[in-house]
Amino acid sequence: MSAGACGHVLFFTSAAAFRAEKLCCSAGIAGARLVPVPRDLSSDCGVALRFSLEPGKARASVAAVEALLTEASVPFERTVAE
Amino acid sequence: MKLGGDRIVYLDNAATSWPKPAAVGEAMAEFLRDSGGNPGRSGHRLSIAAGRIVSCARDAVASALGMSDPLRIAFASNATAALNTALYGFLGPGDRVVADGMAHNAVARPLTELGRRGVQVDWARTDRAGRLDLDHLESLARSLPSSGATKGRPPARMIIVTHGSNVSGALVPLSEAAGIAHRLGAVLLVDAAQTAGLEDIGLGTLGCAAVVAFTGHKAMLGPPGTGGLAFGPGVEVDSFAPFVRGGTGSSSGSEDQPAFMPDRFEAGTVNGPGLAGLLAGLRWMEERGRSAVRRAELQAIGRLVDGIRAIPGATVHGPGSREPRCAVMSFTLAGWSVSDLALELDERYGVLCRVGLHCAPRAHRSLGTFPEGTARLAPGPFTTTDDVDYTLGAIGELAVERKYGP
Repeated sequence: MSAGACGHVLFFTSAAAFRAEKLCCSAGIAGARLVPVPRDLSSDCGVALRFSLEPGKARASVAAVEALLTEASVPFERTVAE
Repeated sequence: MKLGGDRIVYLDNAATSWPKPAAVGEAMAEFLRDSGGNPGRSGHRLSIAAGRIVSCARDAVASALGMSDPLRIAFASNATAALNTALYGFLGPGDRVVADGMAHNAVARPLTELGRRGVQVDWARTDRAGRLDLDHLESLARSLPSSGATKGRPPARMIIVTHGSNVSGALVPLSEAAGIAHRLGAVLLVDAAQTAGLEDIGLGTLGCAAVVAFTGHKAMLGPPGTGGLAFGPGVEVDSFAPFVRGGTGSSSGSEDQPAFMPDRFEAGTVNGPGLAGLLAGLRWMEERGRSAVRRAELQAIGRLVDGIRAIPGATVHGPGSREPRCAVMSFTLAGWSVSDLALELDERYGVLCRVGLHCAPRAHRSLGTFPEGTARLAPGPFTTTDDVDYTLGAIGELAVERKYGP
């Protein structure tokens, strides 16, 4: 169970989610792991990528993940920060 | 290789590669034992573990095909299913398509049916060695006045080439075929059943709208039941309708097939254990170096071609040993039917090959070997020089014996 605030990336397809997980883990994104899509979010795909938000720098944490995925042409539906 | 005490020389790698690296079977068993969830369907640890393996297999295939975006690969049960997806998904009444004269029935049969449905199909000629006449192909595809039958018809919407012939081993230069497709604005569909995993395809840099159908159980060294369709960067995926529709684990609230890749073409549960095996096969190939394995196989096929050419009464049907080719060759032997030849090679010498028409009657008509067919030899990564020389010795002995005729 991760402690602290976290963000999620939602995807259209699980194929993109698995690719995103590999990229984020390789890039050292803190807390990156696949989880079932949280109940309060909805997505076309059953898994989401969870990652840790750096205290006080939530926006930068999300932007870093978005930039990584965009750079690698991994399509995602949206990002959500707690 | 010894099997049950008798020597076995397996030269049927064009049908399916054998043996597989030990890691292939181990990876499949491990998948079923340790990560047997349904990839991409659930969020629990076994489903995610399975999904990671499928994702790694997708990455490995992309690398083997020379493309950068693995999400443009849709897995299928084999190259035949992939080719059917591409052909039925793209072509409709009034469309023109040009295919090459070495086509396998995986291309020829769908095109025959599509012809009944109003698709105009033209066949580019090859010579008696199976080399594709690229000028003829371009002329047909352009509908030049000089191309007779195609005069006044629209340019071809799709060009289909057999990258490596499963009969003669002739290799089509993909960069030249891609150039033709690019000049005409046509989609290039490559049947890479014999070559994907071993030959350089460079799908990401072909410079035209290209789609590659591949199988996992031949040069990629994976198990049967794996393969797929890879869409190059220049091709509009939306222009291909899905051939099979169904559950994808995504967009579950909609009864329409998702438009996005790879779910657009991956309805139903994917072959997880098979893809685990395919990943292991591709990793084995990467560890040894694809170009080193290809060099060794070409050395083996070259030795077979030259050696059989030197046997009195033997005829090689295909390109020479130093011409562009893959590790497949066909021959016939005077005084022998190909079926008797295969039986004798198997029972007396343990040399295993495939004879007949190899599901490619059009290719045999091009080579002039229809309807009798040929004996086909296809070495693989485990074939040794001693295996090749032993096989040449066996064929040499049979050539002297002659079962029929003078």
